[in-house]
Formats: sequence, structure tokens, C-alpha cells
Amino acid sequence: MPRKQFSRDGFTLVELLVVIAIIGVMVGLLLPAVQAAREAARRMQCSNNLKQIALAMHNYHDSLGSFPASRASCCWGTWNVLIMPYIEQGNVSTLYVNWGGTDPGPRYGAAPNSTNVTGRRYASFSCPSDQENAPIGSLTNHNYAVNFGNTSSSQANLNGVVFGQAPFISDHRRKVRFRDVVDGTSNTLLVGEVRQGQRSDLRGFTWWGDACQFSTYLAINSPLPDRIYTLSYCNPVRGMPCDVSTAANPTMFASRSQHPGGVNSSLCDGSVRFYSNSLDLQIWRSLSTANAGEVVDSSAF
Amino acid sequence: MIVNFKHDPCTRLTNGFHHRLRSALLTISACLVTTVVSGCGGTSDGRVPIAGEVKLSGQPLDRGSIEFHPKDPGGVLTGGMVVDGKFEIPADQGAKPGKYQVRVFASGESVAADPNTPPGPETESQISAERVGAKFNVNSELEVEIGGSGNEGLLFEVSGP
Repeated sequence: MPRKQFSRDGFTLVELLVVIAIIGVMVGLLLPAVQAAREAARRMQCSNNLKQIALAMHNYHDSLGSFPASRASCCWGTWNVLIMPYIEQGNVSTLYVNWGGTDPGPRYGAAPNSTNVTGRRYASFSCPSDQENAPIGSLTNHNYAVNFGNTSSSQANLNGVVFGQAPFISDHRRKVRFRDVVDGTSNTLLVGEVRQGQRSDLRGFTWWGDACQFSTYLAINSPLPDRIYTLSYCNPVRGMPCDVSTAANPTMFASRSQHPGGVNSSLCDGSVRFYSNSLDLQIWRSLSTANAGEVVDSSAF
Repeated sequence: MIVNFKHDPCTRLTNGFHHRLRSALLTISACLVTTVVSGCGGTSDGRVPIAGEVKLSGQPLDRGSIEFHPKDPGGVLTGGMVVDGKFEIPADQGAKPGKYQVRVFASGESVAADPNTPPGPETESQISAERVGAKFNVNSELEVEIGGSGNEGLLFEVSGP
């Protein structure tokens, strides 16, 4: 008779197995969720960097009456150095010599610039979702590039696509102001994301004039290749195809990121948004032009 | 002091608890399985995969790119790299069914640059020559109809300028 009191004590084997299975499923559900939350946090930090850069450019405009110049030819400085005083890196930017200069003076990759400025890594210019790389010696790649419009880095008509002006232009002596963004600051991209090329790949090498910009001839995270003038600086990895520049496909870089499904980008009004890979290419190109007169349907992105 | 547990309300409560626990566990696991299974399933907005081969003057094109430009409204511009004569565009980056103009590009030799020195004006103004004739890319006469479930095994034969 007393044996009966233990008959229903504890769990049966089946119940234990079910509990273990449920815990397993929940852990299985939770782990990707935790990883996705971490990526969401990195993406938010990345969009915050873009916001800071956009605000820095607005402050630059307030102080000096125009947006910063994009680049001084290939090798004598890019916008990154110009906006440093506005992202609390003024001490570094004063060490940069020969911005906009010519050859007897040092280029971006020579001492003292290489040791003082371009050989360092800046968190404000780095997207935490991407892998860091220093392609040449200690010179660093970064993740943000300025909008060069809807064709290529040479900003000319290309294969039937008419260049529609951009908030950044190749010639550093010509100034672009808010009034030049005729399509509207809320309809024109300012700064976007690029991925850092790995090993000797110079994509994201924003100290160098060629790589300080992106254009929208290629779609977001395009399966078509970025164009760079030599294969020596091109290391195609998954999601980053690249090939050699030709007349029909001159040097150009698409906006790319490691975020699932798209890229962050800031508009000229300072707002930062996430643009999906599936965004229609015509809309993406229209967003990049500063004076093309298109109607951009804001519900489409 | 032996108590008859059979009539102890506490034991009955425990038995009932086990019973409810068991059915609750089964319900929860069924829900979880349903959620997990229904959560899996890709979307590609009606895009379909394209794959095939490209030959330049009869030989597989070693390195190049292929672009599909829509001729109908509603089509999407897509494309991909051609490696060793083959290209493969997955559904999520593929084309929507319809008629497309096909452009094939292949760059020639590139200037060799020392990967250990920063690029300068000495080399970078040079661009590579196009190996494919203009009537296969910028003025392309190549066309293809992409079907409702995608096209595999396309073959494009192009020649030099």
C-alpha cells in the first residue's frame, strides 16, 4: 500500500524529452535572434556614423559656405580630411599637409600624412558590420563615400544614362552649395556606404581620390562588378565583384554593405535611411542626381 | 502514520497538474514547430534565375560581365560576372519575365600596379580595351525572352570589335 505514494512522483521520460526538445527549439530560435539583434545594433551604429558625417558636412557648409570638396585629383586629399574638424578630429586634420597641392609636396600616402593621418583608423568612418583592412602598409580602408551621381567617377553621360549633376564634383575648386541641389535636399543622396576591399583591394580606400566616392550607375549591392583601373587592386569576394575599367565601364563603385538586404545612406537634408537591394534602379539613380528634375516617389523607398 | 495518498487532495492536484502540463507542452511544441516551419521561405519579388554560357570568338569568355536591360516596362536591370564562360544569376538578383537586351562586356589586359605602393597619377589614367564588339554591348542586337520560371542554359556567342 505505501508503495503507491511514489507511483506518480517526478516526470516520465517522454515529458523530459519533450521539455528538452522545447528548450532546444527555443535556444535555436533565440540564438539567431540574438545574432540578428547584434547586427541590428551594428547597423544602427553605422547609420549613426552617417548621420554624424552628414551633420559635419552641414556644419562645414555653415562655416565655409559650401559642401566640402570631394577630392583633390587622385592623390592630394579627400573630403574625409576636410570634415575632420567637425567630427572632433581637428587635431588630426591640422597634421595633414598639402591638401589640394601638387607633387613636390607629399601625397596622401607619403610621410608625414601616412604616419599622422591616413595610417590611422577612425571609428566615425568605419562601419562595424564590415571587416577592417589596411590594403597598403598601414594605410586604412574605410566605409563611407560621397555621392558622385548616376554615372561613373568621371561624371559624364554613360551608355545612354544622362549625368544629372551631383552634390560632389570631381573638380575641388568648384564649390557646391545647398542651392545647387535643385532636386531638393530630401531627394538627393549625400553620403553612402561602400565595403572595404580585403587584402590589396582598394575599394573603400577613401584617402585616395578614386575611391572616396560612389555612384548609382550600378544598383545597391550590384551583382555587376565595380570598376577599378587595375586587377592588382581588385580582389573579388562574395558580394564584391570587380573588374578592370574600360571606356564603356569606366572607374566606378557601387554602394555596398554587409547589412542584410541593403545599405544605409544619408540624404543632403541630413536624414539617414536604409535602402533595400530591391529598390528600383531608376529610383536609386534619381536619388543620386542633384539637378535632373525627376519626380522621386518617396513611398517607393 | 501512514496516510492514504489516494484520497489526499494534494496528490490529485499533482496528478491533474501533470496532465495539464503534458498537454500544454504538446501544444507549445506544436506551435513552435509551426512558427519555425512557416518562417522559412524566401521571397524574390517575382524574379527568376538566369544562367548560361558566353563564348567570345568560339572560346568560353574567361572573365567579363553580362547585363540584361529590360525592353518591357516592369522589367529589372540585372546581370552578373562571367567566369570561365559561365554566368549564374540567382533568383533574388534575377530578372522578371519579359524581353531583355543582352550586353556582354570583357575588359582586356590591365596595367600592372605594385600592390605595395599607393596608386598615383602615373598609371591610373590608363584604361583597358574592350574585347567584345559594340554590337554585343552598348549597341547590342542580342535579345532574349526570359520565361516565367527563369532560363538556364542560355548561350550567347559574341565576337571582338
